[in-house]
Amino acid sequence: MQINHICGAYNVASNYEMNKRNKKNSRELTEHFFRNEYGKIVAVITKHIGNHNINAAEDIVQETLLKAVEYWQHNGIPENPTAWLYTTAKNKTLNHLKKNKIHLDYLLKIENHAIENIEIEFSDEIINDEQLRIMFCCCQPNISEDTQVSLILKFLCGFSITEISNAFLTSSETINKRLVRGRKELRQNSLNLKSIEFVNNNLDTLLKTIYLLFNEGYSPTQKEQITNNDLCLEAIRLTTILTNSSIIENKSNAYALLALMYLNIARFDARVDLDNSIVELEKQDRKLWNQEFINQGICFLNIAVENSKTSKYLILATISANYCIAKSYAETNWKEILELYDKLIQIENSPLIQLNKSVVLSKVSGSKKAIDELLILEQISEIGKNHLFHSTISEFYKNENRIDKAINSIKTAIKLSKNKRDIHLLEKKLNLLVPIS
Amino acid sequence: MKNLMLCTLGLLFTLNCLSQTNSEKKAQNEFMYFVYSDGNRVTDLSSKQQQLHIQKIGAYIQNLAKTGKLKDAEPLEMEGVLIGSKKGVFTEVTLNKDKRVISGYYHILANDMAEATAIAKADPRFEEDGWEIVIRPIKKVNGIN
Amino acid sequence: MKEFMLFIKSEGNPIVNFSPEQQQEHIQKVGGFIKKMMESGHMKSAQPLETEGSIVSFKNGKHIDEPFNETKEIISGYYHLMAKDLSEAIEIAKADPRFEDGDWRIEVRPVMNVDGIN
Repeated sequence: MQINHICGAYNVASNYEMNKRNKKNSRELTEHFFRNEYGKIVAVITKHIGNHNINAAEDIVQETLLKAVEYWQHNGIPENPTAWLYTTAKNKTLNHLKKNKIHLDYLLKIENHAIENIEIEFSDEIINDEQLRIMFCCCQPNISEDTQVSLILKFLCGFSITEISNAFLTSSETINKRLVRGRKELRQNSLNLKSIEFVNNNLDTLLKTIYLLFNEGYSPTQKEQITNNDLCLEAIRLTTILTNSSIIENKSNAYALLALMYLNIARFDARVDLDNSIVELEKQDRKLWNQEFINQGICFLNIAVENSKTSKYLILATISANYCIAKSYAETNWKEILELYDKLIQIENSPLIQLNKSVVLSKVSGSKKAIDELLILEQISEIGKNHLFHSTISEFYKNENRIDKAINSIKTAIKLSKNKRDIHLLEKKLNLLVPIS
Repeated sequence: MKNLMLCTLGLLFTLNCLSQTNSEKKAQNEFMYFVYSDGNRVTDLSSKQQQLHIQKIGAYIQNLAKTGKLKDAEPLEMEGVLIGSKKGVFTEVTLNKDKRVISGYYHILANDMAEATAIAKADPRFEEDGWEIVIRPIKKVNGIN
Repeated sequence: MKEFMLFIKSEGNPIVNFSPEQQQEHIQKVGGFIKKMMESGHMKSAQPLETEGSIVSFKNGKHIDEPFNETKEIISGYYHLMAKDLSEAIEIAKADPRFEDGDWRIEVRPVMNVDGIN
């Protein structure tokens, strides 16, 4: 029958298509691809539809990604997934512009182009510049720091509200409120990336926010290990946008921050045990340290030092480098690190920095000296409310064989700590101290 | 004057050829037709009517295949299962033949929704009551695939 | 081997609120499943459907053609499967990892053999 013949022909054709598709299907997406592309596309689209329309830009990107999900899960990852996303987003943006003639006003103020002539380009340079623009927009002094970080995570890093609230251990409502407020403040921010004064004034705020973001990921008080690494990697990615940009002239602080971050994350794998508990520096298996990251960090450190102006990031990076290049805990150059801490305290003095310094002091001058310093610190600051103070001083008491004081300090630390992993570690230490009778 | 007419005609002829070539090159879109019936209409009919029905629709489908519009067309058994999952536990619900069910499908190639609709309307099953064809474009991304 | 059509149903789109990260995971999971089924010869084709469409019917001597409205439940795609019998088709359907990502339902229908049509 003729129809069977035709259907037969279709079968052969569809087998061929199937085989072609199978080859296509063997492509994988790089880790965090969707998340990273989200931020890039949002940035480029807002260039064309305006900062005040960043919501619409997010909608367009979300639609683009959903379309990719539908299409790619059935038909395999395309040969050039990035180009696929950019083309789809471009088409959606042009449709959006056509439908919303109100935005023509915005366009006409800038350029006198018909919509058909608009070139929505996704070159590497444009992607970098536009992400930079959004970073500066979000990190203005009129916006609170917490809100700055939330805005960056949402617009630039493709995090969902749930992911952000998990990272900060707050509720989705809190994050939502921050974003609503932040978007309002975003609209009021005028941006002049061509003014060197503007860039210099706001670069520090931007770096501070990125560092805050990094610490949210690095600090072991966070619940979810996976979120930890992601935040740190995002902070590195954002700082790399800064160092790659042709708009910023003085990049030494950015390089210093990059160095600091690479040197710190190099030790990630050694910091967590198989049972998800924290491993302290002294006990870390140095073979698990990522030598490539350490090398990268030192490389950036060298670049940052060229512009010899001292900064907080530069000192912290140098301290971290000293830890990283030591062959063992005992062989760490404690004297050098102590001097660096003294320099740091001249720039920025805080109880927490003093606390960190005391550990180094105990190595150089003995635990008794460290205890004396900490007791003074307790008097003149609120550090006594922090569980880290008590866990640190308990180590010094133990070294001085003042076991009762050591036990009391750990118990205080346990009471003050809010994080299960910290408590678990402290309880282990307590068990080692309490005599078995 | 004659030269002007010839020029215009020549221009019109060229434009006509161009537009024809353009419509030939126009991307073919794919559509799924879901044929809905209240229960299986075919089993309600007398055996003579059933045969007639099959011949009519068979001819319609053959015609579609000849013109290159058909990728596939199949009727479905009036049995089946609806599978769901709640909290990791699977549920299976047997198909209810008396409700509005998909009794078959077509996989069609057409230029656009308008043409797809015209093709659907030509289906001879509409000579009987109770059929519905739902036309769903298959997701395609223009210029990419 | 018999043929089956699997209709993928849901109320709305269960993954519309997924983060980009989760969406990427979804593609890798479900895409991987489809690819595996194609390699093993179980899946002939798998396509997603647009959410628009129209309904054509015939009433009172006239054709009616109205836009397809997303009522409660929509068919968002289909699988064209080959399997030994209905039980195997059902097992394959249950192995679809999309069930981990929200309230999806899959309708499994055997394709009929009718002389003269196919």
